[in-house]
Amino acid sequence: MMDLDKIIASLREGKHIPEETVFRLCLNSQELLMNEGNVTQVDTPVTICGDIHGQLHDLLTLFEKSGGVEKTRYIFLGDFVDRGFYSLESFLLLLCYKLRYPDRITLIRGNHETRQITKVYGFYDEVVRKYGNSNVWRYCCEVFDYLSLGAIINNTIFCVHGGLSPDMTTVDEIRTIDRKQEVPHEGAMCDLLWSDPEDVDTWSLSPRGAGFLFGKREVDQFLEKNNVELIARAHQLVMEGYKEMFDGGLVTVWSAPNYCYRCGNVAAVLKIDDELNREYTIFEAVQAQNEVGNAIIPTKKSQMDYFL
Amino acid sequence: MERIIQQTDFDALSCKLAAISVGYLPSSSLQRLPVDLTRKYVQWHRDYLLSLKKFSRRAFGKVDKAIRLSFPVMNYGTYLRTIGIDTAILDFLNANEQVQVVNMGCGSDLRMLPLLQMFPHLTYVDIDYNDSVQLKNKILRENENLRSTLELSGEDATELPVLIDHKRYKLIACDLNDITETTRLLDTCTNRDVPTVIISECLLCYMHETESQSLISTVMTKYTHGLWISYDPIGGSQPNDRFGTIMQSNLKESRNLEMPTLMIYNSKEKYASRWSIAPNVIVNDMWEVYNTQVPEYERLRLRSLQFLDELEELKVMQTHYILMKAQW
Repeated sequence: MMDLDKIIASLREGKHIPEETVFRLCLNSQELLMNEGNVTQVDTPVTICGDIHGQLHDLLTLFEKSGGVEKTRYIFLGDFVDRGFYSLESFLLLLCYKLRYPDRITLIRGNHETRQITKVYGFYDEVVRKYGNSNVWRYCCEVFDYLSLGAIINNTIFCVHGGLSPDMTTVDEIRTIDRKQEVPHEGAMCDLLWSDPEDVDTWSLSPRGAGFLFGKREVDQFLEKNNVELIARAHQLVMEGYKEMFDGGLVTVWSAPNYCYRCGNVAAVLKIDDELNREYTIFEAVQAQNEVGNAIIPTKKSQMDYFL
Repeated sequence: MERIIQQTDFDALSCKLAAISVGYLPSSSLQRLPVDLTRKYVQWHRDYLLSLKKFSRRAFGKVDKAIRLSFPVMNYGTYLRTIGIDTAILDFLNANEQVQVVNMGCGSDLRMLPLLQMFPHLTYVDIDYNDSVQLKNKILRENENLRSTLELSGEDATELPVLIDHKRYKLIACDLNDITETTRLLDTCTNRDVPTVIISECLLCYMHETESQSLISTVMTKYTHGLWISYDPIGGSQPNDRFGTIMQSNLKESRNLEMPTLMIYNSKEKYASRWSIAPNVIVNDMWEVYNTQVPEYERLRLRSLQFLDELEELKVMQTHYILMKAQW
């Protein structure tokens, strides 16, 4: 068996993980995820986290500010990879935690956990840069196909990466999707990962080119029909870290502070306690340091960040 | 500092080439390019990159790599910057019979090529640091296609500071911080009574407050009629807006690049106040340009090129870049 604690320690320092180790981690993760439903049942208390996007420093801060996986249950709403410089380490760290503490961590698929998107937005290039070939990217993509599409907390809070789909209006319908595939360009599975809430009267086309925009009416109908109180989702940068909409029927949680190392936003996680109270924790981007104050992981500044 | 600022031209070139390679540019409708120039636009830029390889393998390697790693959000920004400036130039060219364009801090920009073909009465002046225009001169003369488009000879027929002295196109070496030299060269190469377009695309942001104001005032008083088109970042003026300070520290840390006035002219209004002697000043951030100047059919075209999964980020970035048009 693998020494997960040792791998976790290496990942936390941004160290290189041998290809063979990644292969086994991914294989073990697939076996574990295979048995989960499309919509995982989760109990309170639980902390809901939004997009991470390879910002490993900030993922470590997130755990530090919210109790840590040893003591706290987490749901991650997807978009672990792309854009930041440590997509691989961030995703593998979450997988290791999942293997080490299976009932403490739920991972939901985001729209970036696909082959097509990771080829455009950085994860593929990061792997090729770090390994000289794309094998590790392929292993990770296999895992992406097994990630859940949603979670439901105490049968009361529905968690999803993007939002709702006009094709499926109940959680039970979502449970019937054959999710073990690359995310299609249209249809319910695509919409769950791509859609956005917006001030619209009815389903509208999304400017992103995939998914839909949905409004208060669609949210209210979904809440009533499924007997839930809240939709918790991520997917959109919120400068204040979180944003409640539609009389509190939907919340966007964003967990990547100073997104792409330049947006200047703060990040948030949402803790749901046993009485279903919502408690937001806000955190900022900080350089992760060791005990003598040196940076654990170097921040790499890209050359193309600005228009010059 | 001079060298560090010159290096930013390779960023601009990379962004432009990336946007071209994916198909954002050219926009035949907004850049109003006839079919043959649409095709040539792509070829000119390709030729420029190939020719660059012969003179600086290092710069070529950097640019070539950057092209392949460009994110959609950057391609959108490059598209907006390009069509924003081009539209303003084209409107002015269409409204005036004879026009001269002065592109200050031109770097490797090639917008003179289609414009000189489209407007037979146009004269065009490119000005930048000596090293930048030396490289541009070599590249333009080395590549046959570029050379024949500009009707140049293969050799350096002319001498510093006027590297290309064609009847309709001039390439001039000048430090724009030196207002005496700038004035002298503009006097020799331009006519103060001809309606003049001044372009400053990411130029003023690298200059100090005094020098940039001096350049603006001097040039504006020189020409009887003119249009100044300026594109630059602004730091942001809203409370809790940290974009500008983060930008300054990122650029300082990663490449020792400074933008001295980013937080001084941190809003659209403050930025445009430098041209207040002009009777007609319009300033928009690039998010406004996206929402008002890009028609729906064009947005559909862009959307078909790449998934844009970064609308919020696009907005954050583009509200921190502006296009200013001052007409007098």
